[in-house]
Amino acid sequence: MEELILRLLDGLSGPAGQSAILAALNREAEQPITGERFDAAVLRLQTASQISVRHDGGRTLLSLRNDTASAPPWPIYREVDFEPYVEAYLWRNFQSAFSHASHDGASVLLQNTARGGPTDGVWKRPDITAAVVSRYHFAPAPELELIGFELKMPRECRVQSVHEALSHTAHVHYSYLVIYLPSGATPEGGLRQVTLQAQLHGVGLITVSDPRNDSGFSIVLEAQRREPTRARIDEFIGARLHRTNQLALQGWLGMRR
Amino acid sequence: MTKFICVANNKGGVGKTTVTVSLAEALAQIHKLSVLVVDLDPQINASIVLAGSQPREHAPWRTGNSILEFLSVERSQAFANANTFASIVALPAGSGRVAYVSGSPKMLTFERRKLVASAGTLEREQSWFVSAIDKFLSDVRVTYQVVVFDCPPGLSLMAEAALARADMILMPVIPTALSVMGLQAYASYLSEISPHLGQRAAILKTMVRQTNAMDNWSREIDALSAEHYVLKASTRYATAWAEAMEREAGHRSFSARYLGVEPELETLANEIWSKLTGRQP
Repeated sequence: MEELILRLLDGLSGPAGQSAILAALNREAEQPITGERFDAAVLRLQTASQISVRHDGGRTLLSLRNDTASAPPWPIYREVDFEPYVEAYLWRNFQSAFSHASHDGASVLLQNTARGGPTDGVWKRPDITAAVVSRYHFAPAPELELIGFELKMPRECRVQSVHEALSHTAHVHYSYLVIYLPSGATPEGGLRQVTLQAQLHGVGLITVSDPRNDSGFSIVLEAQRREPTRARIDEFIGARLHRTNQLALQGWLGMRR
Repeated sequence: MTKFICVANNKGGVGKTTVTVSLAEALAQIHKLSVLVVDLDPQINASIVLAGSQPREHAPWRTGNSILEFLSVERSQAFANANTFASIVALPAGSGRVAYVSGSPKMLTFERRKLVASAGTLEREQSWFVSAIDKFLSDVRVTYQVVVFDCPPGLSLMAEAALARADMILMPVIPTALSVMGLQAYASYLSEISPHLGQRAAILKTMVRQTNAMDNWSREIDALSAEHYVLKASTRYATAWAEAMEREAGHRSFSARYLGVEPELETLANEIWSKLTGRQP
């Protein structure tokens, strides 16, 4: 049966629902295939790394396993290619690199917020958002802070990008501008102007010469804390963060046990 | 490429947690690696040791930051990013990095509840745990170079899923009759899960007590080398290793924490890393 499952999946361009595959198998088989036999075959294929099983939205999806698909693109031509490198850097270094997340009892989550949610203007959301819940010895309740990261390619190293990062402080406490500046890139508008404006407005600045190495990231300016209203924070989390992350935040804040 | 190690044995009290924590710290200190410990044991001993002096009310198993929260997705949702549940261990400057995903005492009942609540087969539930581990490992691959799972004694669906993905199954064993027989039974259990798992098993002799019969049982363990890799390194001074776990992680230097067993630990870390990567230390 395993061979038949592999053949069916091979003929498809993407993942298929588990029940659809079982139905297709039953059409081809001379006698009905029980759920037990099918489940055992799926488990054997999955354990042998021949197929992937993914659970999403209450559905179980099967696909042929492709381990090479997860490598991020290189070289980088578009902002969307830059995102996975910055996300990986942030996951690795967030608590050590950003002082406002370095408490003993801090819980951190990160999410790509560049896409998804209401389409009411790109200036309304950072490309990556971090949520930090800090706990203190002498404070009654955990504290939530949001940190936004606006990513830009070399051609967008200009003052307008600082203003875009600044606009995010309507719903995040700290906002960073992250600019990809490989060696030899001549940033339009000039890095000096960007640095001056970022300093003036309290926007953090990170330059990235080589996103493949952590040493290629430089935190030029730390962001200054802003105080968005609770209503704006609530609205932002509700509209932009995944349901799983919303539930994690509620758990960390003691709202769900 | 990230390497996955499962520290596992059906028998309790053979030093699984001590080996997990000390190996993680040694790989970070000596090889400057970024290491994630995943505590699958509901006793959460590895989590307690790694949490160090952190106030218990802020500990990850109390604040909703454990492996249980990663697994506790509602039916309509996808898994969260596994990195979300990692807590950083403060290590002395100059070493690599150690983080841990805490265990949860509620893992004892989680699997049972999930099985009872499910209308599907045992295989379907096991498949769910394998896909949870696959998602977990795919997330932490970008963040860590080594992932060490501290598996619970006995059998568990989650541990079985982790075993299926391990590059090395490190089986600590003490040289006693029951331990050696238990190890043989565990080795056949591994072959039952998958025929390839036995080849990934590495046996580590942890000598938690000195007995007259020790040499004989030690030879019995060595006899298993026909089927499994028996590590040359061993933990001879097990009491000193256990005492190291009582000292606080991170705040003291590596040498101070592993006083007396540092050379042994270094030998073990070197042998394991060289076995995993094919490179000499």
